[in-house]
Amino acid sequence: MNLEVNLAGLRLKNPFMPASGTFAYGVEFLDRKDEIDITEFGAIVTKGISLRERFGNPPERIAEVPCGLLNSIGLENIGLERFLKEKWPLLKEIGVPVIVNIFGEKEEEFEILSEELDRAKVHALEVNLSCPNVDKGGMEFGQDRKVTGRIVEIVKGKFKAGPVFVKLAPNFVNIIEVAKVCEKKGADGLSLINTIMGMAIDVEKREFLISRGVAGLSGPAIHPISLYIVYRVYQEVKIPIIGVGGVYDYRSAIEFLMVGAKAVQIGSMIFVEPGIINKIIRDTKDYMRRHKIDDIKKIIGCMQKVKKGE
Amino acid sequence: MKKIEGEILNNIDLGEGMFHLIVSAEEIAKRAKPGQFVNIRILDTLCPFIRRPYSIWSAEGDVIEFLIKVSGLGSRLLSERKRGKIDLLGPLGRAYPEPNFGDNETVLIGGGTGIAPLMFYVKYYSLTNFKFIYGAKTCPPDYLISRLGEIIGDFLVSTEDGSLGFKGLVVDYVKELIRDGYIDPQKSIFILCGPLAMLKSFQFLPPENTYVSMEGKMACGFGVCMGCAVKRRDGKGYLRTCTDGTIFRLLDIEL
Ligand SMILES: Cc1cc2nc3c(=O)[nH]c(=O)nc-3n(C[C@H](O)[C@H](O)[C@H](O)COP(=O)(O)OP(=O)(O)OC[C@H]3O[C@@H](n4cnc5c(N)ncnc54)[C@H](O)[C@@H]3O)c2cc1C
Ligand SMILES: Cc1cc2nc3c(=O)[nH]c(=O)nc-3n(C[C@H](O)[C@H](O)[C@H](O)COP(=O)(O)O)c2cc1C
Ligand code: FES
Repeated sequence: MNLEVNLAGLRLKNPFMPASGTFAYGVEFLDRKDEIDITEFGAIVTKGISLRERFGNPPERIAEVPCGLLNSIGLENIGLERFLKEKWPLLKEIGVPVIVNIFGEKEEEFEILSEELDRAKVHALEVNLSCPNVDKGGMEFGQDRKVTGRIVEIVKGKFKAGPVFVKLAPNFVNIIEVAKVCEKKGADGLSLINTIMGMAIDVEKREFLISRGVAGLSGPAIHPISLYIVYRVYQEVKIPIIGVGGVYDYRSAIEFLMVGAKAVQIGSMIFVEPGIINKIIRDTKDYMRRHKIDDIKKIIGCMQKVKKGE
Repeated sequence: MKKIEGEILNNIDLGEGMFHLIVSAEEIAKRAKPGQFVNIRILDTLCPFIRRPYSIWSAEGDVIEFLIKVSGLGSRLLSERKRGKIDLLGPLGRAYPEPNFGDNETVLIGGGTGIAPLMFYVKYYSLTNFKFIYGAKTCPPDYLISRLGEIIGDFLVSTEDGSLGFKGLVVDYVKELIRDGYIDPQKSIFILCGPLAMLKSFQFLPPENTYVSMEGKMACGFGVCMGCAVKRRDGKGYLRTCTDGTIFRLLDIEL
């Protein structure tokens, strides 16, 4: 049985990996193999790294909503220098491709990040142009087609060590148009989607549940939306897509593959089931056995040909 | 951290919206230390979505116990679970400091279900030189009072409605006890667990000798989401409640 996929030149032994920001830097689990075996993952995706350390937003940063989660972490992270010193040396020894998620407030920050991470020879970048939880950068960039295009060009110009994925979200933008711009400017793939902007209110206290008011919605609640976006964008671009948003079991993961995603990220569900990625890998093998599928590539995109009612 | 399938042995309604959950989970019980918590999956459905954290009230043999107040959907559904398997992640968080405070007396102050980890602390270390103060809204259920008697011996109570002990907020009670010379803040180590508003009211205590248990919102409970931020007093950003705490020295954080 073959679960291997080629993701824009990255060879993954299976399509399943954690979503950025839901698995810290990945190295935290190296000695917990009985619960989470990261050596089985298709790839590892790090928390978003910025040029300088970021403290993130004040609490409350988390609120639960039906079948989902609002978060406003504000990209708290240790910054590029400490990442390269403390995390990368451990990460590169694991034997699994490592995708480093990056974020900048200014174009030149993306430039330096790409340059330094190229020098370190990290395996791939995922450029976050869609974080709803910071005032500057993030989503502001992903909303503007021109700026998005320029950042993709900058990153592609500096980072040669591996593919560059761009992460987008459907917040006030025509995500199809932005996706096309990314492809045109040389992005090697797309990660769809980041969290969707949302909010919740404690009506007794007349307070937002998240101190910043606005937050990013993730979890099973967004799965049908992310699935549809991958389905649609697949029809418009040729570069590979990583499906992300609301995966909670092997079925919801396979749905992404069936609409054409070459890989799948699992985020919030890790908080509920730390071993969920290993379980999805196991259950997918089981599914393939049951359906006599010898190669996972045979299900990728299979639902693009089937339209309801035909 | 370990994900364990426990078995609910009993789930007792204590009245006043509180319940006593008793679970068999050997691997957690054997390792649990006072101050640690367990992240409980309420049901194996997707709503409620994230787990709920609860302090360990007692761990003996292969049994762990919790004291829980119904405050929303998750705790209500949990209160209705009387039998069957239960999905637990724990023990999580750092334990309370070992009682190694020299001549200082330990003053334990618990608000509401905040007494649970404090009771575990007293029992686990067979603490002797301590005072235990329980702040409640109204007269606690008899069950709780007798269990407190068993484990703690003598304890002091305040209730907001005056139905038992001092009438008023626990902070005003403690201030009175200090005024009366019953507690000497200069010769005490304070360990507090309760709602944030209560913890905030105790900021007059000497911050180098005061420990507080934080109960901020958590998404994961094991250090990967960065959701449980607590502000550092030195201005260098945030600490994580779940892995750096849940207990912090007041000197180190801003409430
Ligand atoms: C480390 C830790 C230990 C805890 N130990 C205990 C314990 O021993 N016994 C106990 O009864 N409770 C404890 N709590 C609080 C417990 O986790 C909340 O009662 C629970 O999350 C509420 O879930 P719910 O679905 O019932 O309520 P929700 O519907 O989530 O919320 C209902 C109300 O409870 C408040 N609330 C929600 N989550 C928390 C929280 N984490 N802390 C404080 N208030 C909250 C909300 O603001 C809201 O007002 C602990 C919390 C933490 C972080
Ligand atoms: C707590 C939290 C932190 C996140 N941090 C990042 C981040 O640093 N960079 C990023 O690109 N996406 C971040 N995300 C978005 C996720 O990677 C993912 O796109 C989103 O959560 C949807 O997937 P899910 O429903 O499986 O969680 C974060 C999500 C959560 C819940
Ligand atoms: S709750 Fe996720 S880091 Fe603490």
